[in-house]
Amino acid sequence: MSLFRRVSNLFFRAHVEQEIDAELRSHIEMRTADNIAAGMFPEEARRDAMIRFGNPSVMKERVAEMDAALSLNNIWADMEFSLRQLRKNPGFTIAAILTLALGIGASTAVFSVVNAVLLRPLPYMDPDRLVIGSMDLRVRNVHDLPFSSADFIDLRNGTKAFFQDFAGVFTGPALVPRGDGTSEQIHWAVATTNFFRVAGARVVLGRDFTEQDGIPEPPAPPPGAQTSEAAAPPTVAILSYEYFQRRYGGDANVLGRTMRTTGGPAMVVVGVLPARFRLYFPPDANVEIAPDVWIADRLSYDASNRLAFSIRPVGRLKDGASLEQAQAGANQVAAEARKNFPVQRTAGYSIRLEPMRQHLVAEVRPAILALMGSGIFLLLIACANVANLLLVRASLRERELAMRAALGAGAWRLIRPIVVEAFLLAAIGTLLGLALAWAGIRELHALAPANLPRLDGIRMDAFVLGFAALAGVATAVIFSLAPAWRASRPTLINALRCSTGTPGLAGGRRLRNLVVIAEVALSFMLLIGSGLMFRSFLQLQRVDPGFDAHRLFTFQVLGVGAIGKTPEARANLVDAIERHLRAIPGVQNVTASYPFPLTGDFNAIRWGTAEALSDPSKFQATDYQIVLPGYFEAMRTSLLAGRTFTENDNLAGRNYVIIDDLLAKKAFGGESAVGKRILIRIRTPEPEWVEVIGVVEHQHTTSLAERGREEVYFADGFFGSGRVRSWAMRMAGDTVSDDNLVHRAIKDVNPNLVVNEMESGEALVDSAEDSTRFSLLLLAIFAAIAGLLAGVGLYGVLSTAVRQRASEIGVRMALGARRENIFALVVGQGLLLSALGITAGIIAALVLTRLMSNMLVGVKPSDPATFAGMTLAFFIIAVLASYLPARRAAALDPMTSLREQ
Amino acid sequence: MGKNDLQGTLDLLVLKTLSQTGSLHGYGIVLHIQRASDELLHVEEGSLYPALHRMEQSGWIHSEWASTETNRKAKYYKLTAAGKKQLQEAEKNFEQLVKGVRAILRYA
Repeated sequence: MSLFRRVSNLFFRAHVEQEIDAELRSHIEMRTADNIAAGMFPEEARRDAMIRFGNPSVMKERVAEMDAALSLNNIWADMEFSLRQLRKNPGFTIAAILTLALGIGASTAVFSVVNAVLLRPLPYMDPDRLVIGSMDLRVRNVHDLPFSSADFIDLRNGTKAFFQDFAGVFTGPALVPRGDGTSEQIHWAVATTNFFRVAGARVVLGRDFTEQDGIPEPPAPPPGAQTSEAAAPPTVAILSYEYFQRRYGGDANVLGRTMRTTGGPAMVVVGVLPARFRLYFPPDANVEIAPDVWIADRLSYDASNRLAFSIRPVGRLKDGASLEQAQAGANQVAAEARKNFPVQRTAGYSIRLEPMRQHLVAEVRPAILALMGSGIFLLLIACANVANLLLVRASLRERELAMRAALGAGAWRLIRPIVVEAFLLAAIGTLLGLALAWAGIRELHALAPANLPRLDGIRMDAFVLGFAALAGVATAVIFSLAPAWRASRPTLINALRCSTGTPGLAGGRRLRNLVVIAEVALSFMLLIGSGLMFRSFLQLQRVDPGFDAHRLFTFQVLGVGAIGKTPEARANLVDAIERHLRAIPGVQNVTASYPFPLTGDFNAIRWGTAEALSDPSKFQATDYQIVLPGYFEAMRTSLLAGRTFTENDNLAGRNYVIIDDLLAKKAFGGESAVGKRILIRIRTPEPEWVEVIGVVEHQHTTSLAERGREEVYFADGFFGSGRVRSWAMRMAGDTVSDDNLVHRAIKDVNPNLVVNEMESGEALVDSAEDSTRFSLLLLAIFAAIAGLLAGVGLYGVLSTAVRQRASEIGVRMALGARRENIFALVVGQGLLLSALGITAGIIAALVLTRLMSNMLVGVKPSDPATFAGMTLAFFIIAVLASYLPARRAAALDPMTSLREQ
Repeated sequence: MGKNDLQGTLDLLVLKTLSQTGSLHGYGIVLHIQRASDELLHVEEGSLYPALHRMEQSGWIHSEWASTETNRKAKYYKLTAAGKKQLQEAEKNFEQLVKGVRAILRYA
């Protein structure tokens, strides 16, 4: 019965109040009747009965308060009331909801990136115990290198005390013959036989690798497709589930079958991996994320080849072993290597162990956190704006609140409608924000830079929804705090004494000013952040990559090394490719290189001058590139001295090199490098002399943002031809390269050649700007919204101020103030508020922008131009926001505003 | 000690009254307490009704509209099982309060 009543109370509040009324009335009537019976006059009798209750409305309020069910009912009623209020003020409602939706949408979208990239655990067994080892050559300023087989084995043996096991992996492309005489390109991974056990993956079909599969063959296999087909024990392979389905249609009979590669080793398939098994390494580590075929590494200790870096070590820490202990062990291994090998010593060889996830996101984490911070700033600005809107509205209702407080309503009863309204606004804002975030996440997929790992994981999942809900609740609490605090302590006397219609306005002024100052400060910081990114972006645009990307078209041709068994055969193949490509209409130049600038690849060798002959520690490192004659002409890289390669220089036995200006300066100082000789160590363990025939302008090979390392260029013939893999065509005029023509040309040369990674030169340069552009774009959007919101906030505060000071302005005008003075008064207030906010913003920005220093290119975090420019920009916003209220103030008719008093 | 406050005393008076009379309306409770205490105790209407509604929400008493002898509509309150238990509790607390206060008064 009681429960039923509680529920029914909820829906019939009016009925409940009537019931209380009736109960009290019946009491009064009975008392009156008794009083009359006791001899009182009816009037007196009734008066006596009523007086015993005191104030009837207070009484009723107190009785109603006792009904616990009723307070639920009140929230319901408040909600109805709020909804009605919101409907009645569509301007306010739309502004508040849109503001919140923007704040919540933006921060939720960014959170989806944080969630996918930084928070979600890696899909391996117990992923927190997985550790990645990377090699740093500190002196050369090269980091995150893979290991040579000898260094890998030394690392594995030297840290056995801390690791359950240490696996190694590397990946590359290979060609597999299709049935029709052409080849298909696949990605293979070469993994130590324990790799899947370390990662915690179980083979779903067939068997895992065994120790037996990894026993070294006498000659160590050079990576990949170029391996000769001589090895006696078969190479053992496990297929990815996707490749198993794609190539073999999920036919289990493939187990035990031999899989042939074009020009490479044949492999025996022994197992199939579970679906969606991925290899997560940072994108610039050049590790294929989804290899098609996994090959058991017949790893041998190749001490003579410590510069052949390939293996990425993945270790699983023992229970109880800490990363610090393991790192100490690795440091010892590195120290030992530096002691024993001069190359390691001069290069500053060291080993860095990192948790796998940390290693994966190290490069992008600062940018993501900066964006997340910006998203939260935006959310706070949105809160401030809505709080101010609510404050203005609450101040208009202050008299009503004061009256209700006087009638006995408790603080909670006064605050409750505000809180209910806040949650209602926040709920609608959150829903709309989720829709925005959903759209935003789709855009993020298109915009996100390639160096963002686990990009495919960015989606709306439970965590993202939870974040949005939390953000919604937090915003409701934050933006209802100030108005609720105001409402809970209405100053009755002041409110009632005032005779004008808007008595409370003066009271909330300071609070509103504070809120708007905070808002200005926050949005100013976002403006600074986006300004710094913009300057970085401009700086990047100005970088000359050392070649002309305009109308350049690039792609890879794979298979030359696999098909051509002799240097002559390979040279002929390269020659044929060049001729066929040149025959495509509109092609001006054709050239090839390996690696190609800005594709993320680089190779290093050791070089020295004569003094290195006696003192091997004088050898230094430089990057090198293998090119065809005509490369510099095709790339339009300036020749600074000497000459470029001719066809004659491309023949075997010609020991000519071209170096860039950085290396020339390092090797010969101010002297001309042309005709001089340098020592290099690459083809043989012993250094050999090569002659410099030309000096060219430095090309940016690894990054636009950084100048990069020195470069030495070899002709393709120097390494026995066929090493060039990246081709580039310069198109004439406005001809566009046709992918199909390229494919046909290459097929005509040899059907087993595979073309991939077709890209325009501009796209290459573009993708080198990707991460800067991404951060810039997001920050700029945030800053634009923030600036707009701050402007609106400022406008709101000023126009309220003008309304509240109407009579004061009237008096001023009556006393002789001119319209210009009034105008200046209001604009001055706007500028003052902005100046205070900007000052706070500058101080905070000086601290915070330091966190984004590694996102910046050629700009200091405290760049004075950005700070000055953004201050100016913000003052323009402030003037714009003040203009309308100021004009309204100046246009006030003193007679009218005084008469309204 | 926490329960030995004045509000507890009003609750005790109301619960006891209802246990003695079975079922009574608010005005009747006021009169009963006055009469039973030989005019020593006066319950204020301003406190009684909030207390009644609070006790009803706590499930100690239960109300029903009915007619008085003079054929007037009034809301009658009745003890529930929980209310009977609460009454025993309140009586015990009150005895202790009286004992304690008396001990302090006798202390010399």
